Amino acid sequence: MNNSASILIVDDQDDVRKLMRMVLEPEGYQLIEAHDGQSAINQIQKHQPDLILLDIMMPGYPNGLELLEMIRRNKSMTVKIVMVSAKGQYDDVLAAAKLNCDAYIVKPFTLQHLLDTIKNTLK
Amino acid sequence: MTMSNTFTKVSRAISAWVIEQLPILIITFSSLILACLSLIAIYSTTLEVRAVNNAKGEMHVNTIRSELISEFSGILGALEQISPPGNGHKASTNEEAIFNKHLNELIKQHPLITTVDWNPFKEIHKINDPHQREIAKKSFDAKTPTLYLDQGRALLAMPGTPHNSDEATGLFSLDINLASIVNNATTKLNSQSNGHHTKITLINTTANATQDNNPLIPTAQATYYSAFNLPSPLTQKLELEHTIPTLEERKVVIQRILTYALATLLAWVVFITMAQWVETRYVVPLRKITAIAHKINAQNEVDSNSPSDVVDYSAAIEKLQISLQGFVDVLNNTEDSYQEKIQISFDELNQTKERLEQVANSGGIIVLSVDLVNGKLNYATNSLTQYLREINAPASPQNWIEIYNHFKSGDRRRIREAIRNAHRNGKSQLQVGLGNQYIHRIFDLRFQLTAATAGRHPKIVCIAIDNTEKAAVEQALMRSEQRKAAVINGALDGFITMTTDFIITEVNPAAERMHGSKNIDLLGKHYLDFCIAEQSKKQFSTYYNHLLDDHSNLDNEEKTIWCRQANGTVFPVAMGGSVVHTEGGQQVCLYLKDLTKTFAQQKSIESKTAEIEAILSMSPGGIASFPEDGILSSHNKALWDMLGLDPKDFTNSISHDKFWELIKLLSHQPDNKKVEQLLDEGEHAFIVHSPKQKLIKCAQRIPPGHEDGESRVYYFSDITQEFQLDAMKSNFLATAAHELRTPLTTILGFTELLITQKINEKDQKDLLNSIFRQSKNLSALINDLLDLSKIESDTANVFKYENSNILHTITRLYQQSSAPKNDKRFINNHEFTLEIVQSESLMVYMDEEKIRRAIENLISNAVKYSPENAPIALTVDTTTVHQQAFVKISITDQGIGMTPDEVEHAFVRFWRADSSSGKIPGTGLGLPLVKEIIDMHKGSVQLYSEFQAGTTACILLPITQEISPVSLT
Repeated sequence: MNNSASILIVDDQDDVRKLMRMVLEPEGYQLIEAHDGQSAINQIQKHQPDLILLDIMMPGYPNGLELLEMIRRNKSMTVKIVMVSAKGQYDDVLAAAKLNCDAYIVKPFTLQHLLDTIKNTLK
Repeated sequence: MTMSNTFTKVSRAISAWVIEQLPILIITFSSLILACLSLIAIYSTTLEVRAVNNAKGEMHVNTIRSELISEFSGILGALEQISPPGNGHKASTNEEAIFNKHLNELIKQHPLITTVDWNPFKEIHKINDPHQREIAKKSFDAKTPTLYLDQGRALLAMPGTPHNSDEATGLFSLDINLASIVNNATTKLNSQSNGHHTKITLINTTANATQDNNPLIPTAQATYYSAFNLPSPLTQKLELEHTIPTLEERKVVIQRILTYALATLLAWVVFITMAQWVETRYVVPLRKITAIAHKINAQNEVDSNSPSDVVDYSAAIEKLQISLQGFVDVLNNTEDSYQEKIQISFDELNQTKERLEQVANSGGIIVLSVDLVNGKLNYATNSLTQYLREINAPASPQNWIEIYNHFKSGDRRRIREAIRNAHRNGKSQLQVGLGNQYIHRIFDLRFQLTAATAGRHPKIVCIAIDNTEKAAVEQALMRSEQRKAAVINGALDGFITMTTDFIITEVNPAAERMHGSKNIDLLGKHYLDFCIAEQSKKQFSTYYNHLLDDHSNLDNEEKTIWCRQANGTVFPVAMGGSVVHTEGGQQVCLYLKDLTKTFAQQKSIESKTAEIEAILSMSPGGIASFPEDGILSSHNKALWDMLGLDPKDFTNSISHDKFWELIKLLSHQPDNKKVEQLLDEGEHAFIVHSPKQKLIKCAQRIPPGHEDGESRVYYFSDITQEFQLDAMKSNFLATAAHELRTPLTTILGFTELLITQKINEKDQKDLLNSIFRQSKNLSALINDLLDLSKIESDTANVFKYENSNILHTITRLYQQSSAPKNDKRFINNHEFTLEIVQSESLMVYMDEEKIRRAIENLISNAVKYSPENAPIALTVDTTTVHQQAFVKISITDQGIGMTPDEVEHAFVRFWRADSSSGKIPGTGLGLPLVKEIIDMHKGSVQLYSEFQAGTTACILLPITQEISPVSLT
């Protein structure tokens, strides 16, 4: 496996982060975690990950969409962003797409779908 | 009169003189004109002939000239061909003979050459003819051929060069008979010129013209030319001598003169005929007519008023009669003075008679002049004869009695009376009928006395005017009057006529009905006193005076006046009036329209309107109605409240367009698609801002029966709540879906991991724990949803009530929901305290499980909305409201708190304090669920909150401890 890319998992739910870690770790990815927007910013600055798995509904500021907007406003950052949210309605996806996310995964997801999406996005 | 007389006299004199002198005048004029015309004829003929001859002569001269030129060139050409005999001295005889032979041939070919000689240069001086000698010298000097032109003669000298030599050795000298050409041409010309004697003279116009202004070439002044350079105007001019005109010319002139004379005569004849025709046809009658007109005018200047058609007619007749009288006077006077004044011509008398006849005939008038003593008909117009013939009576009566007998006996008596009157008073008149079974005519007879003069009997002139037609008109008028009366009597509206001082003179049946009185009771009554109600008397008087003052303008104006019946009943009428001028002075006509029904209808409409107003005022929605005129008519308070306006602010009426402009000004269009889902077809919505932002729906209805018209009704309803509820519902669905998906994610994810991957036992247990926890969450959420929907629908009895000590419930809850730490209890990081003020058991009739859920919800809210480490307090107390004891359970946090607006909405289903930010998860069902539960227990929930400072939620539940155990069993 040649998956040395670093991935930041942002989700307020411990169980979700745990699930993702358990899926992605065997694949060889470098994993970083953040439980809300603010800590995600710190982690990004610290580790500069290749990809972010970003939840939308999180407590505090910024939430997932706001964070996405923030990152995309910074032109120097080329990080890939995959939104992972339980908000699965058309309008929600459209809002994220407008902010230029790279992929959107609706919870609940199958593990294979998560892996495929990350792989495709990193290509 | 004098003017026209003078004119007549003068014109008559002139015409008489003209007719007397006519032949002499005609002859004189004709001769003069003829003489002029003859001169013109001669002159013009001469000019024409000359022009023709000049043209011909010119042609001939040109012919001559071209003949000459060709002759000369022919001669010169021939001469060049002839070779002269060398040096002359050495000329051989043979040579000489050939040369002479050539010369002879030349003469033969050119008959105009009279002589031709060859002179060697040495022998030039030997030439006899001086002209010939002269030109030879010139030719020798110039070494070119030289020509001499003379009247009728041309001399030519030309150097001749022998064939064997380059130099000329001598000169040819030729004499050419020019005159023969000219004579030939002249003869030829004259033979073609219709006998004109034309003489052609050759004139050299180029040479020496300045010398003596004589263009003729005199014999003495010979002119020399180079023979190769002949002057182009060799013979330029012809002189034509016209002696006496030829016979033919004379014929032409005479013919023309004759034609002119004939035309002149014819013109005269036509002119005279025309003049006579015009005189008889127009001038004479015109003169007569003018005279009549003058006379009539003079008579008529007395009166010229004509107030109406009928009056016009009689006035015209009267005028006619007067003028006729004038005629007869003239006639009589003329006859009277005939003997004395013999100078008055018969003509004038006859003319007068003739005019009288004309007038009488044209106007259907008979004029008689009767000797009053013996009844002899002194004079009668032809119209009498005609009329008598018409009724088959003897045509030419001699005596008055013959006419008189045609009248009926009754009429005769009246006529006798009238004549007697005329005799006494000078004039009289009457109307009689005359006729047989076929024809009946009505005559206006007028008698006029002519007083007796010396030696003559008095006469009476009778003028009978056929008045049949006038009588017919009068009858028609009467019928029209009757018709009018019928219309008035049959009318539904009342007509009353009265004198200017209110005395009623006429009443039609409709007016009778209105006033409830018989015609006979009303006539002669004072209208103002008797028929006008007290309250309208003043108004009526004013109107009446107005009518009298200015009757022309008020004819069509209607007034509402209250009238009174004889029994005192009062009724409204619309009143119009006009003033009529009659023989008896001014009359006032009033037109009355009963308004009783109209008033009743108006009242009914008013009450209906009031009813509608009442209905409108009760409507929760705003209503605006615009009838056809587009002006806002019906509206209600709700409308103005909705728009945040006060109708009192509008002083003017509000038009449809203005109304919508106003709304546009006060509102904006919602750009939310969800609003459209709330609208039916034909409806639209807008958002007003004042006093509160509201979403208002507008539906338009067209009143039945007005589908084509402009009438419109609008219904406005406030759909703010509806819209918000709808928005909240969809928001809730999205949130609920999210809340359901989140636990599902982990459940599904971990399950998949467990199935697909090898995981050690410890981790397996860990994962299963997580799955279990999340499943529980999911289950709780689903329960919440189900409970709420059940409570909401109220269909199922989901409550299990029993009397329980609520303190136990709360203590248990406190213990279970928190964890101990350092002698304190915590929920997560929040310190959680329980204070029970009343330690006695507090019995509440309740579904314990539900109450527990309610309190749990409140605690969970406190935790959710509190920052880290902020304490949460649970207090249980008792209180009394309206003599009813309540247990008061308070949950106090120091969290983010709520704004008053948020507090207000807190119990609204699906609403969440910060649904927009989405930071705090929740279904938005917590508080509504609490409220539903507590409401079912006849308790109440209250929130006391301060923004950014904390919230206290209070539950009041009625205490049932007074209820004895006995009563419970």
